[in-house]
Amino acid sequence: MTDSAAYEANPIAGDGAVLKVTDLRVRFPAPGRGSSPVTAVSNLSLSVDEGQVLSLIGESGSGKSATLLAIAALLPAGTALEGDMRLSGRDGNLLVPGSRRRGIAGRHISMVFQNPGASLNPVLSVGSQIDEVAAAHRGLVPAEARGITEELLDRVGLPHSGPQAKNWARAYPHQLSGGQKQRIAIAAALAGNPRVLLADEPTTALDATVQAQILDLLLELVDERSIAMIFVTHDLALAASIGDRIAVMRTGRLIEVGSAGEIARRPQKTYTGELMRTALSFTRSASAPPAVQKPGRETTKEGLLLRSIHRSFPARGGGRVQALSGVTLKIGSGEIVGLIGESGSGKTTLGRITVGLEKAESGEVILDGSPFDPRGQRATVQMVFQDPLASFNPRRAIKEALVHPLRRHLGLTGRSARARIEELLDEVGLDPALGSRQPNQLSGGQLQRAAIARALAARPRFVVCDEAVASLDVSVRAQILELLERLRADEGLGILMISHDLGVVKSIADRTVVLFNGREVESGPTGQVLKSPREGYTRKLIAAVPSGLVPWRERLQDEAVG
Amino acid sequence: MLQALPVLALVAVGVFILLEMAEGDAVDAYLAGIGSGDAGFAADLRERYGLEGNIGTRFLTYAIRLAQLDLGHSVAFSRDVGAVILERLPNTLLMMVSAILLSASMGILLGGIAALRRGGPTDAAITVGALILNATPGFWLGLLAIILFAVKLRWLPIGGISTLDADLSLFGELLDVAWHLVLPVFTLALTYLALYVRLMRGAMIETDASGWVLAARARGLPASRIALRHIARPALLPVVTMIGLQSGALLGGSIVIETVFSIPGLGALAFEAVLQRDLQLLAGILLTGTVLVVAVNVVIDLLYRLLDPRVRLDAGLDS
Repeated sequence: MTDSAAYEANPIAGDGAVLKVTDLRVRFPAPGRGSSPVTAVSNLSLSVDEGQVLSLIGESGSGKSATLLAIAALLPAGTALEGDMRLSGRDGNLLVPGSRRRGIAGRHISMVFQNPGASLNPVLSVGSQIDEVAAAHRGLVPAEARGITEELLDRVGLPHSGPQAKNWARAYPHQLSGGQKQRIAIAAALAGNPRVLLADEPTTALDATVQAQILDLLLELVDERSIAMIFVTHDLALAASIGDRIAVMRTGRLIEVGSAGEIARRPQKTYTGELMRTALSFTRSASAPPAVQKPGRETTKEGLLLRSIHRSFPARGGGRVQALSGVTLKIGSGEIVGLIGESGSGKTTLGRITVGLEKAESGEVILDGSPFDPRGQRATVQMVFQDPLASFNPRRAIKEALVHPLRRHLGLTGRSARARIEELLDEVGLDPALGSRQPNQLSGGQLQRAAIARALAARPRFVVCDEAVASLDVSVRAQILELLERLRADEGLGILMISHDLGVVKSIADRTVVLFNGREVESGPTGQVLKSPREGYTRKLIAAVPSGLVPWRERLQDEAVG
Repeated sequence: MLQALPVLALVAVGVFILLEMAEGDAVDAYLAGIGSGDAGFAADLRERYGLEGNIGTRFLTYAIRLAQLDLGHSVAFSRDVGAVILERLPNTLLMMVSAILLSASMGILLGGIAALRRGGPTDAAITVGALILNATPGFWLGLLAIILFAVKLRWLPIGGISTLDADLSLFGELLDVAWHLVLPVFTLALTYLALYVRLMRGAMIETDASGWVLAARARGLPASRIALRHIARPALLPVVTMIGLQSGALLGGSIVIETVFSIPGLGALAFEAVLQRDLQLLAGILLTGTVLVVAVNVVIDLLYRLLDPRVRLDAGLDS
């Protein structure tokens, strides 16, 4: 796709546009008495051409999802929509409620969602969920559409004949992996032959290598069927790789639109530049943070050592799955160790064994040369979980959650505990006044800071962060990573950073361990592991990450040639 | 399904302990009734009914009898407990199963309508109506129904299970029983209706907010199909679970309703057994009730397996 200068000059493209949105304004009804309606999107104009991908990017709350749902007519009743939306070849403003919208969903505009598990009905076979869409748009009864369904399944990489064949249509969602479910959801979205496909973070919930496969599939389909796709993401590197054009949103407004290459290389707005810098930290050759370790410490007994850890779990339908087979790992004081791998690699289990939430079947956890006793030494090794909202009691204020470790591990009560809580919240960059809020009254970033404050309350020497920044926006993520780095430098905290995001590990970890199927495939200084990986698996993992500077389509062609 | 056996054994032991704790036995009651107190006669009777000896031998007699499906002898009826219960069981079974089916299906339907029209007047009417019925005692509702439909309007019979002196064909007899069961079954079903209405409504509202409903809308499915297959179908699961859990309470409720409508069922029988201190009969009724509730739950488990593919045993995909 060539970068057309016309797009820069006029974000609302010319006559080739399949979908054209002009001056969209989305207002949600007032959340309570006396408050005014919330404007989620204002003055937004965009358009997409046939066979073109428009990446819509922004942090949470920027209005990108509201925009997508407005286009798909999926916003709840009572939401005020203004502006103009037109599909080529159809009359009338589609934002006007009523009969104009009829027959649009699925047939002209369809959508793929972030969580493939949630977008399929768990009690119906996946085939029947594609049948019904194919049938609804062709005036058939669902049973007659099975042929179309099988063709679609074949196309999305779930063939019913050939060597890889399985009876996919008869499977239920719980029998499929995340990537397979997303393929099904894509097949269902395309069953009505839509011209516009809205993709709302369709790969965010997937592993890097699966994400790469799904991106390949989506782009192939866009090319084959001349679909106009709007791809929403918070990941600027991904947006820049996959999009022909990028639209950057912030606080409900479009702040920058342009060709992907232009925006990735020369962003016009400071905000976009910041986003780009954070997002591209993986691709840029940022110098690895200096290790604070004193020389010779490697040889001492000090530190947290996991020695040949084995762990298995009962498998579905009998037998056992080996989650970890003989993993050895050491975290020194003041050291940040990155642990990367795809889901199912055993990295979360290893983290849980490190803090004593899970027991190893064989192997040992050794703290400063003697066996780690999770009961007696709980305060020494603490954990920060992925979902901050789920890790707080929803009925207790943040302060109350912090009181507990202070009393139990340090014997602090009353005024001294209160003073320490303020100190802790201040330390993690959270206004101490927020301590009296309930968990659901804080944003994800604020809550994750509180979770870190809680983990620090017991004055641990080691902290395990299990995907602790995965659910956070890039700018918040950068702040949290800075905080962790400061704690390591100032207090000699040893950190095990579990992440599927190579960018996170790259920006913070001194050493990196790559886990695959419960085994360590590679470990060493982060720069070495990520820049010149020795193992094929590590290389595959790295290649799956969108770089932001190379269009994904070129990668597709490279693959085809190579 | 094999869990059913230990449940039954546990209940059998529990029933025995309860009966042992009760003071006085059927022989005491019988002697008091006939006004004679000969010690030899009493011992004789006790031996015949397996009431003598220490607790160990009594339990052994009880257990051996149960294993042979012999529920013992009813002093009050001078017949085998099994035979007395079998005579009454069909009436209760018929009433209980019809009431379960009626209250669950009405609840699913009304709850579903309320959920689809939530916030509107239909929703309010259904929710409030079900709540009022829920707060009304079953016997009072039954009495009101008798006064209105049997006494004032004379549409339906006042009580009993069938017309006594009627000479009817088999079909006519069935119709007659059904006609007699209308009021008691509706009364019983209505008192338990609110539960299903609220459960179904809540479950549907929850599923309505699920990702797959949003996805189904995005794919352009007709609203009716979304409502039935993607909202109502998954919402049935908690309702079906509740049917199993509620079957015990419904059996308890049927005692009251049988009394109000003078239906010769297990409930009425239990009442007589208590009055006559016919503990063997009472034990038999309790055990029969347990078997009924366990049987309903087994059926529910099977139904659940049909409704929810996630609990089916097959794990992998067929190639």
